[in-house]
Amino acid sequence: MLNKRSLSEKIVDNTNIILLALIALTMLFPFYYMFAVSFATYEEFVKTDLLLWPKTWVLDAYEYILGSKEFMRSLGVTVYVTVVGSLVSIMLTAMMAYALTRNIFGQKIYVFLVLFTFVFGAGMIPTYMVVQATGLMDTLWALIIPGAISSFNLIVMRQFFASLPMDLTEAAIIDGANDLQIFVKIILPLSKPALAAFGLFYAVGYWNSYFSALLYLSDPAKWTVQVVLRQLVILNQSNILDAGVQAGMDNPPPAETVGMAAILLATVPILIVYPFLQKHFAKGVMLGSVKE
Amino acid sequence: MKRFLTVTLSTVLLAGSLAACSPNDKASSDNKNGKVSITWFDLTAQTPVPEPGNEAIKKVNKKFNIDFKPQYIPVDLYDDKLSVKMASGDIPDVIGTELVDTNYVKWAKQGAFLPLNDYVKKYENFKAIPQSVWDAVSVDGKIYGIPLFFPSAGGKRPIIRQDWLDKLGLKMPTNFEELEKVAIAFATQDPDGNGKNDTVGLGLAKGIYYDPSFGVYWGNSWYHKNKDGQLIPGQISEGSKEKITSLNRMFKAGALDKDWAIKEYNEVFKDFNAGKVGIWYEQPGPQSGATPTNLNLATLRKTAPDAKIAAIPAFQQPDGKSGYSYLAGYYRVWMLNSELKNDQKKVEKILEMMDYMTNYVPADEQKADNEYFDWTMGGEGKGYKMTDGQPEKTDDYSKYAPLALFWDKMGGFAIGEKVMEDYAKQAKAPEAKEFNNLMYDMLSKSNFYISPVGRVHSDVFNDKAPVLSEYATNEFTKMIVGQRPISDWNKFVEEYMSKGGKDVIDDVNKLLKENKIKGEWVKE
Repeated sequence: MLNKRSLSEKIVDNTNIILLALIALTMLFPFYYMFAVSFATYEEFVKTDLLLWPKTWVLDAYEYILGSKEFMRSLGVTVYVTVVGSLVSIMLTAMMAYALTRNIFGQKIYVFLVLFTFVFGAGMIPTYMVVQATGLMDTLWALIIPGAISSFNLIVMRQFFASLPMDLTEAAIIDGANDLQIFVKIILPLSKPALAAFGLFYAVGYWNSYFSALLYLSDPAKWTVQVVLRQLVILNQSNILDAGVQAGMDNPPPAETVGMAAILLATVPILIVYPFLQKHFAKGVMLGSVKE
Repeated sequence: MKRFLTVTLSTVLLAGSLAACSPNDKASSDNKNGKVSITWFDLTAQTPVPEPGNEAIKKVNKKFNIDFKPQYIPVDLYDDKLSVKMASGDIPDVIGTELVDTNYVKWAKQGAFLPLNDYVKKYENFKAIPQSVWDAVSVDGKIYGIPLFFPSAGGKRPIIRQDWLDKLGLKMPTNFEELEKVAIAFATQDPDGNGKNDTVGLGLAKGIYYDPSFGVYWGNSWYHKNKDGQLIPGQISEGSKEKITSLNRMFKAGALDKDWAIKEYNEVFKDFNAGKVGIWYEQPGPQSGATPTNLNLATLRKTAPDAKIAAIPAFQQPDGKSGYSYLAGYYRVWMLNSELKNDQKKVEKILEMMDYMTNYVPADEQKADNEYFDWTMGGEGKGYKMTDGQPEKTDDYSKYAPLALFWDKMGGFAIGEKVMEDYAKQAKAPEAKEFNNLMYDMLSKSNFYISPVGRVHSDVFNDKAPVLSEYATNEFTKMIVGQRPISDWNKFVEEYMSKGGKDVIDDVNKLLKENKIKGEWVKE
């Protein structure tokens, strides 16, 4: 009986493993394909229906991209926005989330306002006009400030802070700590998993910033890597007439191999961050899911 | 969804925001050191995108004694940003657009642009603009934009593997019957001689991306008339029926790619370059025939060393005529902000600059000793260098060349269609020279039809045409692959009419009559 059950368990287990492995493969395959194509010659890519292993490995595509000043510059911009933006976001989110757990005047109204923006967004044009009126236009802060606090992250983080034992803060108050000290010395150190998880959420968001960069920044020197990447991959094709390619007479329109290499180069840096935050991450995303 | 949202929001907000003021870089005639400052918002295909304060802008400032403040967005991202900019009331002095579209007409009607009728007569380059193009950029008789030249005879035209024709002992097709024979032979008689059944006779892409019409009669232009004497869209004409019937037979005989209905057009380019497709399309242009992502004869010849391309002349029509349809004749339009109406000096400055920048220098004179050419290109050794007697742009072109701020020229209205001869001269790759020569040779012997529909602006047409074309394309796709029988044709036409086709036809014909515009034939 026991034996039989474990056999059926084994079957279920193995089926699951195979099934999940297949699903994982379908996710990994596009990356692998991009990897293979980015190292292939254009001629080979054209001739082969599905290129899995280039016969000749070349670095042309990478040389083209890394030799392009714009790509490297935009990568720098993106790194800057990601680092500064994530720090600003996580700081503001934590501060506000903590404040909303305290018994402050009008707390309910603040929470309601946060929830309100969670459900109703302002829309593109009003936001544009606000950015314009506040003089953020054409500065990198335009990518950071309008979306600095995500109301979802704020609410979850507030739940997390609320779940910390009140006794701790009470003990600190007795020891003579003020609110800021309690926040910095007690609450934050206890919240590392939450900070890591939401920091990562924010970082990925900033890393991918594309449309806001396009809308708010008119100086190409400030464009993020995603905007430049799109230019490299889609190569300025006119969506109305095929004249776009022709009219951009002498620009070397990059081939698919270059596109693949560019995508990899723009994705890998943020992927590298994941393993380091993995252990916090698993803990962090569970936050607030169960309230004791 | 995003686009829908943009359009809806912009409609609601535009009216109000036009009057409202905004603090940023909208139209302004602030004189800084007595200089007129000009804000300019345009699309570009330059890589890298020209940056504020670069050498080219300094040259323009000096030349025209202005403070030039341009802003450029890559072509495919432009529309989204333009809609937001217009809706937020942040409207610069000059606004560029690709084509006269629904937004252009809407904004023009709402009074966002300055009518230029009184101005344009004064400038040399604008005089050469044909009436059909002026019509296209006018709304209710008012000229709202300065169009930029694009060859009308250009556009994607059919090409065929001449070496396959020779090998199988076939002649250039001159009608759909012969086309069917050729396409089927290409697909079944192993023209590439590799012993495998891996060739496609006629290239066809998802959504019938390039229309295999081989002449106006079978195409989608408004050419045919119904029994009431009204012009009708090509999709519901007899010619279209003949074309779809023929394509259906070709599909059954295996002459089309069996996956064509889900194949993107750039995939078909890839197949053509790999030597697997017999008939496909390309357009004239200084790089055509040697572009990495479109037709590339060099890549093709790596697989098929003897590959030879020919352009297919338009088929003979039942009504005795023959020819391809003309394109709109322009690509890109510059509009001026209507708030400039009281600032005549600035308007004239802007138009003077546009007039100056759109001068075309023929290929033979594109040398460093041509002062104008040298200046627009940013100076020899900086913006361009001469190789084999032809100018070649440097990597820093968009930094130094004033022309980069106005995008490249595809010719000029004064030289007209003849500019295509220059493409062959300017082409650097021998393959591009070869392709442009053979394409121009065919086009210069062809007749062309100017569709009257682009010259009037019908709201009903703008509103319903995209949906109707999509519907027609879907039904055609079904008919070609045999999901819907061709015998359903009359039913299809009825459906098309009831989905709004009738309203469109009535409205367009009414406008054509009012403006006394007819379809015209021209010879190159």
